[in-house]
Amino acid sequence: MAEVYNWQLGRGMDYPYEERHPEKQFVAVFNINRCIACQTCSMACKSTWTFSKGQEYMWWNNVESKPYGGYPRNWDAKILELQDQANPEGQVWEKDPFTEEDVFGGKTIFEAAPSGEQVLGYLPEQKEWRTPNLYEDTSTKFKAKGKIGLADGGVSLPEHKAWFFYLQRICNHCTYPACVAACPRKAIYKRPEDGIVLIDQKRCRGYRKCMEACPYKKPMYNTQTRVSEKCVGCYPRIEGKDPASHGRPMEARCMGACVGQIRLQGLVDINKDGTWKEDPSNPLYYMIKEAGVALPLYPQFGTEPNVYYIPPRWVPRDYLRQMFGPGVDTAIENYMTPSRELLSVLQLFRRSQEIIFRYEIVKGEKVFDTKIHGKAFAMYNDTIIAYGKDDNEIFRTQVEEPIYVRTSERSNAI
Amino acid sequence: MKKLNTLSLLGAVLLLTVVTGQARLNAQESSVLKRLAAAGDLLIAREVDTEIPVDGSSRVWNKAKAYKIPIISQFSVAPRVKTLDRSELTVRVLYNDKEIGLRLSWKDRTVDENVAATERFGDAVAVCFPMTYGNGERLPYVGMGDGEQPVNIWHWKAAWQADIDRGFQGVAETYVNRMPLTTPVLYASGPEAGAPISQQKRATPAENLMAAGFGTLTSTASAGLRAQGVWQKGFLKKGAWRVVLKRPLSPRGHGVDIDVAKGLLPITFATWDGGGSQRNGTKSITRWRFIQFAGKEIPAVSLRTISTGFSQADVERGKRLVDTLECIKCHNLPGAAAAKDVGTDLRFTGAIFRVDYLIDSLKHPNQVVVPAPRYFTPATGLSTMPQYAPEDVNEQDFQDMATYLRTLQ
Repeated sequence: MAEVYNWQLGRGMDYPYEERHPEKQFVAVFNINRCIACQTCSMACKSTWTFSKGQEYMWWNNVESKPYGGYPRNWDAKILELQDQANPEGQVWEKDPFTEEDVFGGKTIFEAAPSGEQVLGYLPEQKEWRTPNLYEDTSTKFKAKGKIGLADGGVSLPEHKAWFFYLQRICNHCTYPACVAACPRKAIYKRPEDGIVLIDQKRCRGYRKCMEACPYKKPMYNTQTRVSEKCVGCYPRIEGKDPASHGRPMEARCMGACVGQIRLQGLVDINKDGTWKEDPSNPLYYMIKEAGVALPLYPQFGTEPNVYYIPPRWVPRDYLRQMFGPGVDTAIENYMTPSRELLSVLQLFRRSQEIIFRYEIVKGEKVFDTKIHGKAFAMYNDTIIAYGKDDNEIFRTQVEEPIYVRTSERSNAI
Repeated sequence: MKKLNTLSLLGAVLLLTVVTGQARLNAQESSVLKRLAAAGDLLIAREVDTEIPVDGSSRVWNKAKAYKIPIISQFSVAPRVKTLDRSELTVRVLYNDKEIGLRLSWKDRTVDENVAATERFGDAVAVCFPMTYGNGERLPYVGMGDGEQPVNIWHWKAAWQADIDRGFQGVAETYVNRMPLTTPVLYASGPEAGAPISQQKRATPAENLMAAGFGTLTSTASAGLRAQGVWQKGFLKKGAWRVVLKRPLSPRGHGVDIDVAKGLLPITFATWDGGGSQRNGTKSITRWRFIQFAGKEIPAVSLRTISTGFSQADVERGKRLVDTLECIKCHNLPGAAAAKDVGTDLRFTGAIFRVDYLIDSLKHPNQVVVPAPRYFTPATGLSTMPQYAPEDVNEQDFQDMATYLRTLQ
């Protein structure tokens, strides 16, 4: 067992292998606030990768409704419960008295591993994968005695504050993957060039230890080929091998297809020690490390996931803190009254499918100023320019979307 | 597992005589054989002049003596079986001038032969042989061999047997009327990458495998390996698998070359209960045993590195030493309050390790490294187990401790 540093936990932790980091890391930011759960991402993924016999229940990308939904069923509640049982009342974040930083004081899934296992986990059964999204927006199981479940005199339910949100999930291409830790075959590896985690299909013998270990439940078993498969991060597109990419790195299918424009994916430069190379003009680096607006999903699992979420504004904070860690309040505050730069960076989402390596902002006129929740906010019509791998300009866009007025002869055109 | 001087394995087997191929065994050598037989470690293979039947119900199998071998859950290293189970494997061995065959039977309440669901795993049985043996080599590490002593494994799978008996048991066959995807399969990554597990057409339900330590298992050409397994319903809820594995003595480069003239052939066994989600390291295993080819002389060199114990060893003293050296701080031992997970679990050591392995791992922990990440420091390759200085622990101490550990089964 080696000790590795997990910056999301603010501390070192146990991991079966020594630290060795890729040159670049596949990183994405998902803005939960904008998702409409249209599942275009899920279908883009399915039609690209998982349309064959044996992959019937396989959704490398899925969107589930929280708090009731989960694919596989209740995956996160189950892992959190296992962690809590292994370390009752101990899964808490603490403030470092000197640095003021949040440090996770509990046990990760590696540290809470039961005797004889590398990772704390469970293997979901076939039926738990079978019905993604079914019933998950049904908040009550209310059924009266009447003939068809309707009460004779009607009922009144207690008034309560209803809330829900959509959670978009792909493989997190973790820095410390639990699947890699658990695979007795050493069949799973993290690519040195982009940090994408892959299962070697030839080495895999279908033991499903990865499925048992992965807390996000993203490796899946192919019932026809009897080996496990997982999200491949659309690596041919990242390599620029998609014919549409003209040889330049391109975002994954689920990202490119996003109708709600909630997703942005790219690559960040990684130092030898695993820290991120300072690069504030990379939009992902900026949002995650500078603006503090995007947070990892369940950092307390300890795998250092690389998909980051802008948490939903309207959800009870204790629920969000459990899901995204202690940075939730700052992230929401920064998102609700965005800085001038953040507002510009948020415009980069989904203007192109090419990976943005760098951006530049050209300052524009002030549009208006106001107060949001008592905080001063001013909007400027800045122009933001996105550059690709070869420092080629991919596109430029403005904070204020241009308005086009139809000419009178086409006023009713569809 | 690193370099090891097997000639340091002295004790009851110390052979001072210069041995020649066909020399008659001296008294000491004969006593090794007797002690092996008494410990249940000797399986006598009967020679037949007919073909060895792959059908386990054939009467030819009655010619071989049946040995009942205790088989115990793999508890020693992670991933280990959570609840300890002891069972018996009945073994019969036949050979002729071309082939060797084994008939294995063990109790299993359920037939687990369909693996077309996330939570379904198949029943299986395997036999394992060292790739080289009989010339004074030490035995490989009992779990998958090691870097210096690779092993050959014959692995019968209930799922493959079902594929052969009734056709490939895939999605459409398992989920009848559930509408599996019917899209033409443009690619399927498993079979296309050449995963042996993903092949749908097979000639034999057994896989011929090579291994040199954990995580190194590699499928190889079948080399004429044939197998047939049948589950027989027993009285009430009982039932048992009966599996025949047979192979030509010479596999032409794909496995262990079996030379009956060597007299003894080291062998170890494993079973998997699919119903208990067993796969990989969660299985039941045995310690190294030896097939003796009936009617063949045993050259003394074949016995040279087989240790059966130490005549001067004191078990009680060994136990006291284990207590004094506080092995329990890292290892699980009988009477331990809570499971220790730093070192291997030693509670049933004697069931799976031979005394020569135990003494080597006590004396040379940095050379006998269990090849799983948690048992050594990756940077240095050194075992987490301390090396004892000769002035602290002497030869007699090691013998006593190993003999004590050998009694734990």
